[in-house]
Amino acid sequence: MIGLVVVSHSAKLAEGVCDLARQVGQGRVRIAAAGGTADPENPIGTDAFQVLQAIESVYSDDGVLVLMDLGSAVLSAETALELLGEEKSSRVELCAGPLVEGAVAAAVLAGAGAGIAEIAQEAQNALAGKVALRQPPEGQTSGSEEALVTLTNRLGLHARPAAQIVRLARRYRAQVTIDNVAANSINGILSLGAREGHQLRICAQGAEAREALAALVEFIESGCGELAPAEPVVQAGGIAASAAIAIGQLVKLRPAVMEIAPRAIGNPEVERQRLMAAVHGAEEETRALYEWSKAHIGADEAGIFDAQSLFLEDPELLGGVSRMLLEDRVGAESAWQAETTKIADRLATLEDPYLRARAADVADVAARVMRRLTGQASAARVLREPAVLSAHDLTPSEVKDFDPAMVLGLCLEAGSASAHSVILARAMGIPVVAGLGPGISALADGTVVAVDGEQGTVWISPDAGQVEALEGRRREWLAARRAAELERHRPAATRDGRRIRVFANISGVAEAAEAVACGAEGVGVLRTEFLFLGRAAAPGEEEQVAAYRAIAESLGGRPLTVRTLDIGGDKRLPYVEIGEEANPFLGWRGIRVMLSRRDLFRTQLRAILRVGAAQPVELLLPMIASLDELRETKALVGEAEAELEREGLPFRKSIRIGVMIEVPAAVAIADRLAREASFFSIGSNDLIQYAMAADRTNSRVAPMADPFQPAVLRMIRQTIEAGRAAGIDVALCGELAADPVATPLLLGLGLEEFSVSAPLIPELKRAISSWSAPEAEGVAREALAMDSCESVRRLLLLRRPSPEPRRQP
Amino acid sequence: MAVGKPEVLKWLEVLQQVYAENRQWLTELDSAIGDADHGINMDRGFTAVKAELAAHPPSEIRSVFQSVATALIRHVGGAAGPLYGTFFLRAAAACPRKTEIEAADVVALFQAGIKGIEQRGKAVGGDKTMLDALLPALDAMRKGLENGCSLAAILDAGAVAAHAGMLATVAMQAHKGRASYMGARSIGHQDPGATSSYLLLKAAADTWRS
Ligand SMILES: Nc1ncnc2c1ncn2[C@@H]1O[C@H](COP(=O)(O)OP(=O)(O)OP(=O)(O)O)[C@@H](O)[C@H]1O
Ligand SMILES: [Mg+2]
Repeated sequence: MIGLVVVSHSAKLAEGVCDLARQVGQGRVRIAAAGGTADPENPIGTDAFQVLQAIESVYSDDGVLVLMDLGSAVLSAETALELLGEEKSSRVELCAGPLVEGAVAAAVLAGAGAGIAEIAQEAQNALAGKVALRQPPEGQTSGSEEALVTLTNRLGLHARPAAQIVRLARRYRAQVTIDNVAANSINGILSLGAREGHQLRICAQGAEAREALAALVEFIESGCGELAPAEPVVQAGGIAASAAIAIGQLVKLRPAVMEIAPRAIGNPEVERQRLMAAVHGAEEETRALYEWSKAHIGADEAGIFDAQSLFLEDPELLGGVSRMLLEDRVGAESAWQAETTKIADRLATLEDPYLRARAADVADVAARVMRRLTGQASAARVLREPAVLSAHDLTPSEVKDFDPAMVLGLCLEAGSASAHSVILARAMGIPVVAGLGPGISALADGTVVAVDGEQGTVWISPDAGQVEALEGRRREWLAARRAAELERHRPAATRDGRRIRVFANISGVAEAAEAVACGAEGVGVLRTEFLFLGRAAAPGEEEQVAAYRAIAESLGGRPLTVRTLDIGGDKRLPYVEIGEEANPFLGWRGIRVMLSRRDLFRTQLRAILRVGAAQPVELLLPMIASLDELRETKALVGEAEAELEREGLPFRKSIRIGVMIEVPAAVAIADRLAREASFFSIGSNDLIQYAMAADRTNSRVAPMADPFQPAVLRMIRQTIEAGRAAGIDVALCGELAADPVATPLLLGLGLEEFSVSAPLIPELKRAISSWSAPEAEGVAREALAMDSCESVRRLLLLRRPSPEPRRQP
Repeated sequence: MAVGKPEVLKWLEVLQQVYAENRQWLTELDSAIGDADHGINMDRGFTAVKAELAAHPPSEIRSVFQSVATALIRHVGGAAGPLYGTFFLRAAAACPRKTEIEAADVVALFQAGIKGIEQRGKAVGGDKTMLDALLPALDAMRKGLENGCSLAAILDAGAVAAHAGMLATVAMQAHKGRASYMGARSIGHQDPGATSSYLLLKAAADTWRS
């Protein structure tokens, strides 16, 4: 969901406007105020840093809309965008709309999940309602006109003509409705879903009713400025949603209708078990989707999959299905479909657009279970040869299933550039044009189309000249991608040649291959929880060996650091009884669990040691807080080695054992730990929260959990220095490692190994290569001399390599 | 002569004094066509610059400019904050990594900074803004450089041109900033921003004279 920022010369005004907006945002919209100066004697004014912080506080990749009052508010907001950096600022929209009305309109739409472009437009025109109210009363009666007009353009009222109608209607002093929907609302017009041949009733009232009507009738009759109705469609305009081009045959992706073959139903218990197996499988798949999206697009977006997992555990749903199996004697497929359709239908009829949209999520996850029950492949998997897909809209999990080698491009009737599914497709390098309107599904399968995701155009049966031009651009694009690819695999180094190791954090087999593709030199942390979650019993030794070996093999000889199971905190397993804890994060988790569940620990250690026989594997221990824990683990490793020796199984001798530095206690004794550990890996996410005693999911204290807190920086420095003094490697594997703003600071502190989620590696390598070691050391020295995280962040923002002047709007 | 870090720091120190001394004048100019805060803004901004430089002495010339930019963006409060802030930000980016900069570097630095102000505020010459002092000054400095003048002569030419530009704003109607709300009534008053820009150049000419 997009965030809102209100910039004003007056702190009171900014806060007040935020209050008004929050009221209509249904408690969901993130809004921040940036008002006034820090000077109590002259409090009126604007401050670009405050704006910057406000934007960061509500930022997500969906975008941020900034509303401003007058004069320097605009200049300060633009300055803030420059400081924010190109990547994020391209998702921030400065809106010239009225402050109060604009903020309220934007909050309503943001709450309803609208995209940034639409919200910006509505906020910009937010005065329309008030202006209409203030129209002279005679204006209301001076004319009321009506006309019927037939929609002739092939694609119907999709986003672009709808926007033109809204703009046209607003130009006149008249109140216009189309089929009883206000013509000044883009939402309203789109909700008509009008298609070719549809007859529209246009009514206009007010001083310029006649003019408004004439203009709209002319516009619609002329085919909404699109194409002459008689001619065949040659081109369709939509929303540019990615920077790439594809040419191929069109294949329509039909909503996967699940065929349920009739068959005799025997024992209901058998059906129930089949169902539960499918549900568990789907749950695992959903959890994998969650982890994948979290790493690729961000925690916010991944949230859908989290919600989907909950749905799969819903006792009411599972109870309902079981009852049906028993009482109606139907098959698992029918019962599941009946119950889930009921829920999706109920959601689909709700008023609240946000909840209504959840119906699609429910259908999505329900289909995932169905696919397992029926053994049908997902729609996209049935492609036999590479093709361009067309669809009404897609769910993120459908997109995730695509094989980029088979899905050349996507044409979507609905959707927007900021939809999750589109973001995902972009991340996978698939060209997308969204918002094409219903016309695209009228095309026959096999029609050759060219998708230009950069310009938002789909060429239908392009002629030879067009194909050639587009092929040329596609080749350029591929060449650029290949160049970027090569660049990725170059080892990272500072400008003056200091080698830095860049590793990946992964949690699964698929991510291992991805890590290599992204240029990782190895895996800094393999989170093994993926093997243990979502099942009734712990994986056995052989299963673990197979999983770790598969990962090590796909790394092609690159080092693999396996972290032993880290459960507790927010992660629970049915076969490890943790019980109620008042403070799970200060409770039984990580190494503490493993040291008292020797059965689990022993199995995992043996599996890791065995894979290490032929692969460069290292061991990493989470949540170490004392020397005893390390020593005890080493003793267990020794026992496991002895056992394997006795059994004659090959294993890795004297495996390197590292500890996570994520508890402040470990920092305090880092010098002692360094004498007995082979390496350190700083887990900054937990370390920050434990050091500041601040939970980053608690919004009141979350701002304290800032990686640039002087306390945190000193802990990082202390750890690195302890490691260096003892001659052992020190890595950092939290989110901080991937933040390019922090790169000079970490380099300057002497960090030589970064471990981040794979897709972030190329950018991190670029950031590393833009600094020389002495420069970075200068920055680190300055940063460590600062008294607050704000001043550190400000320093780092300013020390960024000279920003290129922003593109002019 | 060449300009090193001590000279740059000296310029900033002089600027702080200049804006403190002219606080009243700039504010009066702003009260005629604006919101009567330009002098207060500039004084507050450069006092913050002084404090920042004392608290965290930067290592190189470009980091001096970076610190100045932050302090101004943070503390000026009015339009002059982002505008002069951007000036110093771009100047920092254009500043070569040398311990001493030559006449050509100084002109390049002013050029980058002034381009930054143009980009940020989207004003053009004749809009009655600081650019009406800065653009003619840049022109004069570039000519001076082309003709092989010394840095002192270049800066003098800049300050003289800025002075003329500042006076010319009296006859203009404002099209940007607060004053533009006054429409034709803004004519007949000197623009406060053009005045502070003239002072900025004059201080450079005065401190880097020999
Ligand atoms: N868009 C602009 N481009 C260039 N210079 C501008 C622009 N807007 C204002 N200025 C300059 O800024 C000067 C006013 O600066 P001051 O610090 O008083 O800001 P302000 O107008 O009070 O800001 P605010 O918009 O916060 O009220 C003007 O005299 C003018 O020279
Ligand atoms: Mg002012």
